[in-house]
This record gives sequence, C-alpha cells and structure tokens, in this order.
Amino acid sequence: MFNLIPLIKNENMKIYKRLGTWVMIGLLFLVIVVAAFFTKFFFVEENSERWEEQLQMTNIQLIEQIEEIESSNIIGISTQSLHEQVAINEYRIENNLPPLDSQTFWGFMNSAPDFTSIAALFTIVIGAGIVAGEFSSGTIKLLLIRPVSRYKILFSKYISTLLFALFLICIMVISSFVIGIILFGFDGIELPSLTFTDGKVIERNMITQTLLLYGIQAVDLVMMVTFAFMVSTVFRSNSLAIGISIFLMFTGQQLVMLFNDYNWVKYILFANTNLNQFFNGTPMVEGMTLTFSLIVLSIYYIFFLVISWIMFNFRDVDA
Amino acid sequence: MEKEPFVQLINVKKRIGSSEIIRDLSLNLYRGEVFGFLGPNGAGKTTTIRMLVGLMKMTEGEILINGFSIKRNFEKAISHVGGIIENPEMYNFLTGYDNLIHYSRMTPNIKKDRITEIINLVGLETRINDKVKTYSLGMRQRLGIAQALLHSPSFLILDEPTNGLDPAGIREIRAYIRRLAHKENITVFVSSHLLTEMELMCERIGIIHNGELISVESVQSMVDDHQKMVQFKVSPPEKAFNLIKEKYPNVHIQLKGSVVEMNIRAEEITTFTKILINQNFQIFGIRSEQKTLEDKFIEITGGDSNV
Repeated sequence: MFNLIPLIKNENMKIYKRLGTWVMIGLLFLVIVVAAFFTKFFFVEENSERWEEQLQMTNIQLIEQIEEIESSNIIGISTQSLHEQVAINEYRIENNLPPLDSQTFWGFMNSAPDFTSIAALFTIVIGAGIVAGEFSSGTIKLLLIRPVSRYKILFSKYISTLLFALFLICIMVISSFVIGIILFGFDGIELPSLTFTDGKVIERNMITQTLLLYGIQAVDLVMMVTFAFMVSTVFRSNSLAIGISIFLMFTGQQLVMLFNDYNWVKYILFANTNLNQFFNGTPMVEGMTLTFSLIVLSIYYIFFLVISWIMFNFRDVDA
Repeated sequence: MEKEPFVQLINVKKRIGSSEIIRDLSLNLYRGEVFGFLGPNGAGKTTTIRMLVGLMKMTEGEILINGFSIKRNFEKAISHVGGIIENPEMYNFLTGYDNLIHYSRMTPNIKKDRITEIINLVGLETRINDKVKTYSLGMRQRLGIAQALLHSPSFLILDEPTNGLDPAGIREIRAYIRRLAHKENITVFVSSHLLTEMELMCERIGIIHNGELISVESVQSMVDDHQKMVQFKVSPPEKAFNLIKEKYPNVHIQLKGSVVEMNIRAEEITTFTKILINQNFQIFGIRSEQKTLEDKFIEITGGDSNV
C-alpha cells in the first residue's frame, strides 16, 4: 500500500497540471453561481405566505388522481408515491412546517446535487483519458518499464479519477454553501426535511438530507466513470471512451423505457443507476427494491474493474 | 574469457496470430559491453526490445536480467533496467523537471541531487523548467536519456539514441555511453540503423533478420578478420578458380570474367599469391577491398535491406 502514494501523486500531477482540468473545474463553479443567481432573481415562486391553502388544494387534486387510477383498474401504475405525497403534505399542515422554498439556503443546497451529472461528465473525461491518453501519447512505454507492477499503476489511476470526482463534489458543496448563504441568508435554516419511510412521515436533518442527495448521485457517477475507465483500458482510445460513456449516460434511461415491457429490463445497468427512484418516487420497473439495485450495481462494478484489470495487465503494449 | 552473462535471452519466441515474429532467439549480454542490435525495419528489433522490458509477453522462452525472470519476477528484473523505447515520448504538458520527478517517484530512493546531476549531465539546465512541448527533438532525446539514467541502471536499452541529435550531441552521447559501459560496468543495448554509428559505439553487434538472430560478432572481427575481398587478375582465370576451389574448399571464391574474387584475410594474400605463382599463373593485379560493416550487413541479410 505504501508505494501507491507516489503513484497517486504522479497521476494527480498529470491531472492538475493540465489547463483543461481547470477549465472544467471553473465551468462547474460557474454553473453553480449561474444557477444560484437564476433561482434568486428569475425564478418566480407562488406566494409562500399562503402555503397551507396551497398544500390543501394539492392534496385534493392528488386524492382525486388516486381514486381515478384505482377505479380504472390499470395494472402496473402504482399510487404509492401519490399516497406518500399526501401524507407528507398533511404532516406539514399539522406541524406547521412550510415546504422547502427554492429561494432559501436549504432549498438551494438541495437543488445543487442535481448538477452532479456535470461533475460526472467531467470525471468521465478525466477517467477516459487517464489510461488511453498514455497509449495515444506513447508515454505508456516509459511508464510501464519501472519497478512497479501494472496493476498498481492501474489502481493508482482509478483512485486518482475517483479523487478528482470527490474534489469536484467538494467544489459543488462549498460553492453552493457560500453562494447560498450570500444570496439566500439564514431564513428557514432550522426546518427539517420530510420523508416517508416505513409507513410514516419522519423528519430528517437537512445536512443528512443534502449528503444523502449527493450520495445517491455519486453512485450514478461512480458507475459511469468506472464504465468509461473500462472502455478506456479496453480500447485504448480516449475519444471512444468519452463518446460511448456520455452517449449511454444520456440515452441509458430511454433504453430502459424502450424495453420496459420485458422482465429482463431490470438487469440493465441504467435501470439501477438512479437510486433516487427508491427514495423519492416509484421504481422504473415494478418489483425493484433498493437491495436488488445495489446487488445488480455491485455485480456490474466488479465486472467493469475485472475487465479493466485483465486488459491492462495481460495485453501486449504495441502502441 | 568465462564471464557470467548479465542479461540472458533463452530460446525466445514470439508468435502473433499465425506469424512468427521472433524465432528462437538466444543471446547473452555481459557487464561493461556495448551491444549493437542491427536489422532492417520489420526484422523484429522493436519486438525483441519490448519483450526485454516486459511490454510484450514472449510466447515461449525466458529472459533473465541479473538472474531475475522478466516474466515471473518483473519488479526485481526491471529495477536494473533503464531505457528509451522508440521515440522518447514524454508528457508534453509537463516541464522537463516534472517529467523527471514523475519517473523518480516510481523507483525507490532517488534523491533531488541525483535529478540535478542528471540534468547537468545531459545539458538541459537552462530549459528544464520549460514545458516539454517547447523542446526540440534533440532536447527531447536528452530528456529521454536523462529519465533512462535517473535510477543508475546496470542495463541500459537505447533505441536509436542519437536520433535527432546534432553531430556534436551525437559524439557527446557516444562518448558518454562508452564511458558508462566501461567505467561503471553497465551493459548497454543499442539499436540503430546507422551502421557507422554502431561501429564507433559497440563492441559486439548482433544482426537480426526476419525474426532470427543470424549473426553475433565482435565489431573487430567483422571489420578486420575475414572481411577482405581480394581480387586476383590472373590468366587463365578458370584454371586458377578451379585450382583454389579444389585445394581450399572453405574459401569463398567467385569467378568474375578475368578476375578471381576471394574472401580472405589480409595475411592470406601472400599465401594465395605464392600458390598462383608456383603454378605458373600470370598475375596482372591484386586488389583488396576492405569490407565495411554495411557490405557485411547487406551480404548477411541478403541485400534486401532497407536500412
């Protein structure tokens, strides 16, 4: 384990001494700033003074909708999430807890994790280049004739890619925190987050809620980045790895929709990457559970890493 | 002279698909020698070098460096090796110094002093903090040599080491390679297509052709010993040709019009002249031509070389 640290230092040097890396970091920061200003000055929200009346109205509509679905006997559409929504709204009215306003500190902090897909995009670019780049520049030859096993080099590259992702997420958290405080102040900072678990509404600390949102997004990120990393080691091509990964990242969900009628669709990677479906909303395919998804994801994950390892370790270098 | 070889290639074979790239190559390299590896393009030079440093796996055979197998004990075997494989491709977006730092981190115990020492040695002091993309080909070559020498290897592999250097630089590098081999007892393995370069740098030269190592000789013997092509202008030539062919079946002899051409050593010229005079042949002229390494090389590789 000891001699991995200098290798990670090397990989970090090669990541952060490129101008392109800092352009990506700058862009991510810019996205957060622009989103904050947009939320503050252009986002028109309904009058939050009368939130209780609005929630009651919403609930009436929701209940009508539930009845309509249940009476029509359509199979396959679950009313579970609608029921949960009604319960949470009632809990808010009973306990005088106004819904989270986007134009508040926590409102903004909780919307920032949506931009994790941008961080994922940038990490894919890094992960796709970190192995393939050495082949296309020819530097792989000098890299692999050192007294370091190939698997250690591969591992240090993978770790450095994930560290880059972590760095990007830290930038998102810190910048949204600072901008959030500056633009939205401390109003409503004590409000809890509400969630429906085990048949009842529970209150959750906002910090936990924010971290949970990032955590859910991070699973998607790690899967896609590991996929890009694998494609990069298998094909030794930077552009192919970026191309395939980004293409699948944007079309993966549609792919699942397309084959939704088949039972095997739930084994597709992209039916499982969005864990948010288990926390807020309904699963893409009926009968899927969080545990099921986690198992499928781990199998894919191990598969990606084993393929990368085999391809990097045992193939001849003829670049 | 019984010496323990420092590097051993034992019956190395490489097949890619159905074609045999390297056919049963065996070679011993000793400490303190500069070995030249010569062959036309596509002969298997690069493949051999890549197997030597573990970039490619051999199909059969074994390579030992200081007794360690490159297959089974890679880290130990490779720790003795420094090299440039083909072009010295460095990280263009990093400075020369960062490149050296990068490689120094991959070998234990390289001090900052050593890096400075190597920079001075290859003469890159003034440009070492510039990005490599601004370097000329010669400067990249120097940086390549610097990274190869950084960890004081005992086996140095240099693929076309003087490529892109100016004449002064070539001479400098050549002198340095010889000094390394002789003073520090390092084994140097040089591949080059510049034959004159090989003659000046190497003690022994191996010629590879179509994946086979067809000749390993010391430069001395290749150039001097039986390298003279002597032409005797005699009358009658046919009789002289038959006579020598009968008496000395081992001598390479050719009849070219009125000229009998023999490949013999310098000291044998007298012997053969005496024979011809004693048999009452008339001799009109004796011309001897020093064979260059290039002639030898073309002769061995069948003349279809493109070096």
